[in-house]
Amino acid sequence: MDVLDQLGVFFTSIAGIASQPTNFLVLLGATLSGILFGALPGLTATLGVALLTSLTYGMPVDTALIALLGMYVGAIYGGSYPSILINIPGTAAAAATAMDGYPLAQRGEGGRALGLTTTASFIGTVLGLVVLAVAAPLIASLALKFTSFEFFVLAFFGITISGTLTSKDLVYKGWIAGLLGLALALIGRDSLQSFPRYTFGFSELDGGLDVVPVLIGAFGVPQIMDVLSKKLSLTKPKRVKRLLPEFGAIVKNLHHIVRSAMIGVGIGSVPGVGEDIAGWVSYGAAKNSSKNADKFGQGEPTGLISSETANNACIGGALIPLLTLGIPGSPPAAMLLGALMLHGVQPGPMLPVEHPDFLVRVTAILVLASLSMWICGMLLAPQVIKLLRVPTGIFLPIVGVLCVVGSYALGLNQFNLYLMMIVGIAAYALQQMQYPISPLVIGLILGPMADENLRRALMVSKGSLLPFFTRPVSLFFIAITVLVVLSQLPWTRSLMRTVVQSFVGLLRRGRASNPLNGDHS
Amino acid sequence: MRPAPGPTEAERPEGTGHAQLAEEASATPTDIEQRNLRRSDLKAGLLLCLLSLAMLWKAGEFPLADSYGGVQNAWYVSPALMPLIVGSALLILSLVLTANAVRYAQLTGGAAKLLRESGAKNVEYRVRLSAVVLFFSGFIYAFTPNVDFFIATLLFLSCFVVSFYLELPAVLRFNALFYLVSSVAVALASQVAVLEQTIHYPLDILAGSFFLAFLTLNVRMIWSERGAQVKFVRALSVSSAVTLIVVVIFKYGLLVPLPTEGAAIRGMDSIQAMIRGSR
Repeated sequence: MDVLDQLGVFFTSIAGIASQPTNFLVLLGATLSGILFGALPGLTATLGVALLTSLTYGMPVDTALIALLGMYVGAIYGGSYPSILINIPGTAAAAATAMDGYPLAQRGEGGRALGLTTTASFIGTVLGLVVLAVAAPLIASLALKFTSFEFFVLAFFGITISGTLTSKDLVYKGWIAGLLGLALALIGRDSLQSFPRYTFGFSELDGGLDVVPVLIGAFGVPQIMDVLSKKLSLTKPKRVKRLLPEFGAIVKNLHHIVRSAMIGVGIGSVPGVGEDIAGWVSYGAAKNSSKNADKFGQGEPTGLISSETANNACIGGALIPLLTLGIPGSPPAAMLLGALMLHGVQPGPMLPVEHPDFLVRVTAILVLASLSMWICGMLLAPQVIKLLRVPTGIFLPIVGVLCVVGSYALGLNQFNLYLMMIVGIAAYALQQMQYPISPLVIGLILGPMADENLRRALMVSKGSLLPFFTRPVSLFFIAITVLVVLSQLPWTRSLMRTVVQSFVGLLRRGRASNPLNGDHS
Repeated sequence: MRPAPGPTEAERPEGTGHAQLAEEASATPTDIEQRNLRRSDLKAGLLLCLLSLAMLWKAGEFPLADSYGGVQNAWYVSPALMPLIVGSALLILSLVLTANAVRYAQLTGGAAKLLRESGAKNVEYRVRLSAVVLFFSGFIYAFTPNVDFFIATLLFLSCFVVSFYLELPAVLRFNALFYLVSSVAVALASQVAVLEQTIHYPLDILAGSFFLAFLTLNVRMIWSERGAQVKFVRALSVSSAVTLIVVVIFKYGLLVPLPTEGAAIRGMDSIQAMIRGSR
């Protein structure tokens, strides 16, 4: 499709969605639900997308996509509400927002802070999807040349990098989580020979583990257990009269916005690394480059704008590897992958071939979702804020019921509920021991891809591993994976430290002995 | 949930050398956290070692080179390949995890001492956590497969919300135990085949009786506390409303069959039929 054709499809899609009352209502409802999911502590964007997957199963693909993307965009933005008003991030993505958002709210400028985050989130989403629209076709056309060798290495790289970047304690805890996810993915009959692996005679396990109940178990149940067991008492949110768009502040911070968006897209496109890291990295970059660095942490609008732009731009970034390679860029994108596959859409390099205008339709839906998020945020924020006063003892048990129904509704299988509970308790235990859950999810999602492609690749090469090292893309990703792993080992770090110190020492000695410096040793 | 933390990258420990472990062993504010983490690493490491060994042992039973389904296997297309790779990697990393925890323990009094210590979590935390797990487990394993979903959800939500909304420890403990007893009773009753043959919806009647007992016993417990009475009524109202809304939306809106459709849902079906008939 050439550019004009794509633009035509883009505007036609927008007009089509906006003109159909059902789709319009679904979009508004999903975005508002997403804002609620993001705003209520204990709920996450991934859980929201997972629950909505069950609800939208019977809908047409386009309507389901509108609902899911609306939920995704709304939830990432919604996390800023409690961050600003009660200094507790609604989602991990909004953790950096609290640094300057809460001080603003304490000064009585909560409406101003929310107005800034609403507009920054809108711009971040739009910039993210611009990059998605430009980069995705290029990557997809490159990915068409990938073979099983590249796909196996990509899957392995995704799991490794996700484990490395998301681990808060020892780095190999992230790798262990990824391997546990891979192990879960091996349950069931293998795709090449239909041999039952780790089914222990249970026919329910023959088809493998369903993604939705596992994700609901991993992201819903531990949150409920964690919040209720710790007797969280949320402070009353600061009063907000009305939201103010503050376009002046946005224009003043345009260069921060563009940089934050690029950071968000870049980090989002790394498999399994989510919006929370994008928010912090962007916040850090803004602080380092700002003339008012000392004001960060005291209600500096630049900090607020940077983190929110980045975490929403991450959405577009996360969709790039998802749609072009079938590798999710973040946990909510992982859930989106599951949802798309349920609707018969297989993300990957064949997507532009099988569904030529799918990418453009996704871009159009994201534009409308971000607009819907902006409108809902500006008009309905005071009402959403009232919901923050609902005690956790009331809304979390209700979320528990939704988790149960959501897990059951897709397969109508009681076994999925048992699975959800077991995964939930295990995920809670892992989180308490500081194991990240994202690599586990990525391992589960990419496990079949890794398994199939490894065996296909070796079938082609008749057991030889040489093609993995002679094919350039494969070698590139193997090299990066090895570098990432080596960089975490203590002896490598001390070696690098020694090398850097020696180099700096040499430079200093060189400068000291240079007669032009006026120093004579 | 704590207020927003600092950047996660900055918190990641540099490495696991002896010098750092020794530093960790001296008194610092995060020492208790470190100690708890290393204790759990020791236990988890051992568990993961066993899990990976079990995984490898089971993978040994998968066809590696012999034929399966009429197809001659080779190691590189064997269904055992990926399990062997994952199991081996998991074994290596779990050994590293265990070794790291043991090294820490050796600097701080030994592994046995580390394992003997209990975590820093207080009794109230354990009770609340156990209650959450009990409510969920009872609902999923005992009630949803056997009892009408409306009645099961009503009892679950009522017990759960009342326990955690009223914030009275005695009420929480009582309701958790009550739910455990009712779950066990329902699970045992579901094994008695003769019940279904003698009465209609016996398990629904049993669950309904438990709900009435829950109401009576809780009202007696909180009768003297005015604030608790108001909260109790609110909790029940919310639980009932949410149960009704969820059942109606999923059953009649999204046309999703519910796990068990018994007395209450059949009653709703009759009401729906009457409404349709009257149109």
